[in-house]
Amino acid sequence: MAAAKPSFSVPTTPITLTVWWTTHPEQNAYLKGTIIPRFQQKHPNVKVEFDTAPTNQIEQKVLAGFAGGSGPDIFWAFDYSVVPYVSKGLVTPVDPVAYGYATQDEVVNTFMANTLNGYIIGGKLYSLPFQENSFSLYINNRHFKEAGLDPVKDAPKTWDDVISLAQKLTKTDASGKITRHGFRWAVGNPTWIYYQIVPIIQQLGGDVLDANNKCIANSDAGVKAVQFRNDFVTKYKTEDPAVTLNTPAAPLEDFVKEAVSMWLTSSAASDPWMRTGNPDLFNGGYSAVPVPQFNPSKPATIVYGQSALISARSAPEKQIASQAFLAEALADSTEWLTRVGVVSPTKRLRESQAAKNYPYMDTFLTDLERARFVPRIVQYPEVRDAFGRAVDRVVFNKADVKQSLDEFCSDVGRTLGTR
Amino acid sequence: MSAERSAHAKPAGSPAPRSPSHHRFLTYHRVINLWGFVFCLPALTFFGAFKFWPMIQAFALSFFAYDLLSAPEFTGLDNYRSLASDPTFRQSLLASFEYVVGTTLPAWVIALGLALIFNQRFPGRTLFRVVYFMPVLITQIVVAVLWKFLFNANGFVNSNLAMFGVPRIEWLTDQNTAMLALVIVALWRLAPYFMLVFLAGLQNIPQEYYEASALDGASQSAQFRYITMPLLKPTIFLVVVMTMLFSVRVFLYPLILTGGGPAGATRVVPLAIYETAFKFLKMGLASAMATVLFILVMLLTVLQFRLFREDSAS
Repeated sequence: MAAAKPSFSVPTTPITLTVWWTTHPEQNAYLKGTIIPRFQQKHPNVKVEFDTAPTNQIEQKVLAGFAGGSGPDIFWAFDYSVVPYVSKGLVTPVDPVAYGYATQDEVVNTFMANTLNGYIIGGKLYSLPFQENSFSLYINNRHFKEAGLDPVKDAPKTWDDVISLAQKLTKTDASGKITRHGFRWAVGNPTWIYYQIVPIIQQLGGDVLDANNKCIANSDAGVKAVQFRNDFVTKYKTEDPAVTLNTPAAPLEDFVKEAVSMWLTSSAASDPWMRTGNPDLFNGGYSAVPVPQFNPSKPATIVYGQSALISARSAPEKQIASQAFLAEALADSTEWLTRVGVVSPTKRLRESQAAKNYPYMDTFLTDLERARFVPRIVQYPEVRDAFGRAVDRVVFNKADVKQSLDEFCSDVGRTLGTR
Repeated sequence: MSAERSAHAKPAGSPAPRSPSHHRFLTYHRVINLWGFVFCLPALTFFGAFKFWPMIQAFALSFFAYDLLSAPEFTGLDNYRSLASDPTFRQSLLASFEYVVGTTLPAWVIALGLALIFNQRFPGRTLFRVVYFMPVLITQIVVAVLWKFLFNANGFVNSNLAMFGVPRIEWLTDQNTAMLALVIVALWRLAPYFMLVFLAGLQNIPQEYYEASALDGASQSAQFRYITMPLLKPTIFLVVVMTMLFSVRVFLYPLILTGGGPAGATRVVPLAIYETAFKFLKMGLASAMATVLFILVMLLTVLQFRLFREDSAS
């Protein structure tokens, strides 16, 4: 006889929940149009006040709210932001009972392997992601066909394949200036530089920080990885770092505008950009393959996510109602995929017909299962920005790789020592 | 008792006469000054509450570690020591210096040049004045977004330069041109504003001086050197100080156009302060950076005051 699911009851007194979310049309429409009405139907005493702010402002809004004593009950956050909030005692752990489970392990077990690692801090699970993305390699099918290549059979599996294909696919004008990249790396955008280059360091057996948060990016693996990145500029001559349409606000513009044939990105990043920016590309014009690996037996790629956190400063009855709200919001991961276009990495989604029907979902989920989260430290944004500058120094200022990474490690040492 | 004395005699029951010291304190001028202060009080209160008090608080915060989420913790001079040994802060100071020099010097020349031109009478002068002033009317954020498009590798600027055989310039992604791009944007908006200031200064110079000097046979360059420039000195001083202050606190242009890159080449101090405070949650360190910037700007302003005062005295 199966164990009865534990019951979870929301107080019946009038409660108003304040939910602050990022401005995202599909997410907002799904929450406001489906989740909130569904939740309020089940709990008529709970009123949900839903407010949004642009992604680059939501964290400041939340911080200002908490600093001013008027923070929300539930707030959106990037995965790496969970650590600073948790370290300040601002977040309530996930209550497994709200999800119909007796223990945290049972909740974790409903998600794909390793996909919740970034949300478990000090042994406690603080959030469940409604969106989690790893990077895969996107290919422009038309560019491949124009060069006499098959986007499926000739899709790169190793980095040598990428180099060789980049040399075939890169186009230049009469003066030798690159007009279309076969493959390029992100520049000027620390987030994207980190997401693209750090997995290369990890593939080569290194990392940015060791277990004691000591910087090891200037090790052999780090130097090799950044040098490998820079070889596309100096050795293979398939990249001109200054030639790019990408901007911090539009980091996929090169791929969307077909100025690059191969590009490392995530499904959630690409989906809305391509769908609106280049419908032809979106509708069958691209392919996605797993990120090439230096060592297929020890693969590495990055994962980042978005989730909602429950404020520990809210009144107890509000926290209970918040648990119930998020349990309702995350009840159906296939709906998040079909209605919003994002991957909530549950096992149920993995097996669902919706995932099987979604283009290249198998690629995305394969990369997701072997992906690693960025360091769970409060100073991650500074470390990330410093790494971006270190790589840009090599690429733009032609700095020595080892020296630049030594400087990066020096920055990290200073960063981790300041408050 | 004489009639005169009786006319001035105080009626019975009247209050005792005020002491001489009271009369000396509330002189006519003091009363006027007091009323002046009363009228200024709302503005002073506003500036005190929203400018000076936050400045004092920021200075105080520079001696603390504060992340908005927990109580500030006193750290003494740690933040300043950290800045002294931080190469990225030095890079930001250098970026700010490059921007200030690159913006102010050309702004003075261009603004004065335009003002001298528009001080002359010619057909369509009013229309041209309006057209040249239009950039000032556009808000900074719109200017930044507009120029981001113009400076795009395939944008308007490059396509026009290509007509003259100039190869494509990666304005915003090349470290050699990114700061130049910001300077161009700033000058496009700043120069017309100060053109107006110079124009007002020029029009305050009495025409009789020019007429008299012309009668004495002075050339235009001599008139410019011996009449225009000396009498324009207060305006020049104002423009010098204001352009420097405007340039030092630039934030939107590097934020929107370059994000502080490439490789930190345009990460000016205000942008660094913003990132330190709101991306890295180090309010104390950001306050220390702001204090350092304030001290540098104050020193520069005092130097400018001294230079102009010495020049006027000589």
